[in-house]
Amino acid sequence: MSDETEPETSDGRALPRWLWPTVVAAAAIAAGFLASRQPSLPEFSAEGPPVTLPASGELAPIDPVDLQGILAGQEGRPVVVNIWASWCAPCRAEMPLLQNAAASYGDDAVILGVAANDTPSAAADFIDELDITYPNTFDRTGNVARALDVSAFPTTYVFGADGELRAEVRGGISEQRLAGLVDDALAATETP
Amino acid sequence: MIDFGLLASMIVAVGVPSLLAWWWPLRTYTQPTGFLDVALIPALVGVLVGRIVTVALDDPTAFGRAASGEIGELLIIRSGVEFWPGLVVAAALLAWAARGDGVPVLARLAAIAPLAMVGYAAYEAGCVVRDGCFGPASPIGLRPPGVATTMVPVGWLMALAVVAAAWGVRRLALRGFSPAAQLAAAAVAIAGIRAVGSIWLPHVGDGLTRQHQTSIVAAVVALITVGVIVAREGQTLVSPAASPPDP
Repeated sequence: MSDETEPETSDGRALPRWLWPTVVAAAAIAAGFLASRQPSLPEFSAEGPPVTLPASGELAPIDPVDLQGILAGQEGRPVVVNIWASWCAPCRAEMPLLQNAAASYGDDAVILGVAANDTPSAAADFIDELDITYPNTFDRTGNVARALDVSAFPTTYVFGADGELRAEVRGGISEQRLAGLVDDALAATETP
Repeated sequence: MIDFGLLASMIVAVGVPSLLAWWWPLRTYTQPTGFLDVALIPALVGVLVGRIVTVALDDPTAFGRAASGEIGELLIIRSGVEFWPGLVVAAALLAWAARGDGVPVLARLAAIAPLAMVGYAAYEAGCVVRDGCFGPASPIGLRPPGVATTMVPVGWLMALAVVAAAWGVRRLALRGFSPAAQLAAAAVAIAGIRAVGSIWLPHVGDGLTRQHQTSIVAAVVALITVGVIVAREGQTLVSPAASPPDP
C-alpha cells in the first residue's frame, strides 16, 4: 500500500521497497522457466512387423520390440501410450480419464497402458479395481521404460497416425492436455 | 513430482494483486493492511477445500486410502480443484475475519473483490506454463509443446476479460454502488467468463465439462441475485452506508 510503513528486519532496519516485487517476479520467472522446459523426445517409433493390440484385461508382457510392433499395427490412427504403476497415486487419478477417452475416441484413436516397475499381480488387481477396459500390457524387463526414457510415473506419450512420437507428458495429464494432443494428432491424420 | 506450472501460477495469482494493492488500497481496514495479509490464508484454504471437493466427486475412496497414510492422491493438484466451492470457502473465511474486526462483511468482500479478480486473471494468464488454456487451432496463437498447430490461448483472453471486469467492479465502487451489487456483478462476470471460455477449451467427449456446467449454474444464480438486488434497491443502488474508496 502506498501509505504502508516499511517492513523491518528483526534488528529494526527497513527492507527496501523493491525487494518484495523482485522476489515475486524472480520466483514466478524461475517456476515458469522450469515448467516450460520441454524434454527432448526419445527416439522411439513404430517399427518391424505389426503386432496385434492385446485384448482387454489381458495385461500381456511386452518388451520394446513388441511395443514398436503394436504401434506399427495401429498405423493410420493415433496411439496414446500411458506408462503407469499400481503404487503411483497420480496414475490412479488419471486412469479414469484415459478410460473415458478410450470410450469417447472409439476406433479413431488407441489408448494403451503399459504397467512398469510393478508386479504382474499388483498391476492386474489395479486395473480390475478401477474397471479399466482399454488394452494394457506389462513391461516385464523394464526395457520399455528405459527405451522411452521414463523418469516419472505416470508418463504419457502420443504417437501420430504415422507411428512417430509427437509428444511426451511427464506426470499426471489433464483432460484438456490429453484432448488437445489427441485432437491435434487426429487433425494431422486427416490433413497429411 | 512438483508441478512447476501450477507453482508459477499460484505465485502470480497472489503476487500480482499484492502489488496492485499499493495502488488499490483496501479501504475497509482500520490500519494499513496488505492484500497478502488478508488473502493468503483464505486462498490456501480455498485451494485445499476445492481439492477435497474434487476428490469427493471423482473418487471418494481416496479418503479411505488417505486415512491409512496414502495422502498422495489428495495432493495431486493437477488433476483438479473445484473453483466455486473453493471460492465460497475463501469468501467465508474473509467474512469471518471481517466480522472479527467489526467491519461490515459485504463492504470488506466488495473491497477485496477487484483484487481477487486480478489474482484470478493472473492465474488464468499463467496457463501457458500449465496444461490449461489452449483452445481451437488458429493461424494466430501459440504452439503448445507436442502440438503441430498454433492454438488460441483462451486463458489469456479469459484473463483480459477478468481484468476488464475487475476494473468495472472497481468503477461500481467508485460510483457508490452497494457492496452487494458489486459482489453480484463480480460473480456474474467471473461465472460468465468461465462459462464462455469453457466452450473453446479442449475436452474428452461431447458433453459439457464440470467446469462448464458449474460456471453456467453459478452465472444463473449470480444473475438472479443481481435481479433481486435491483428489485430491492431499485433506483437507489447507491448505498448510503457504502464508503466509496478514493480514486
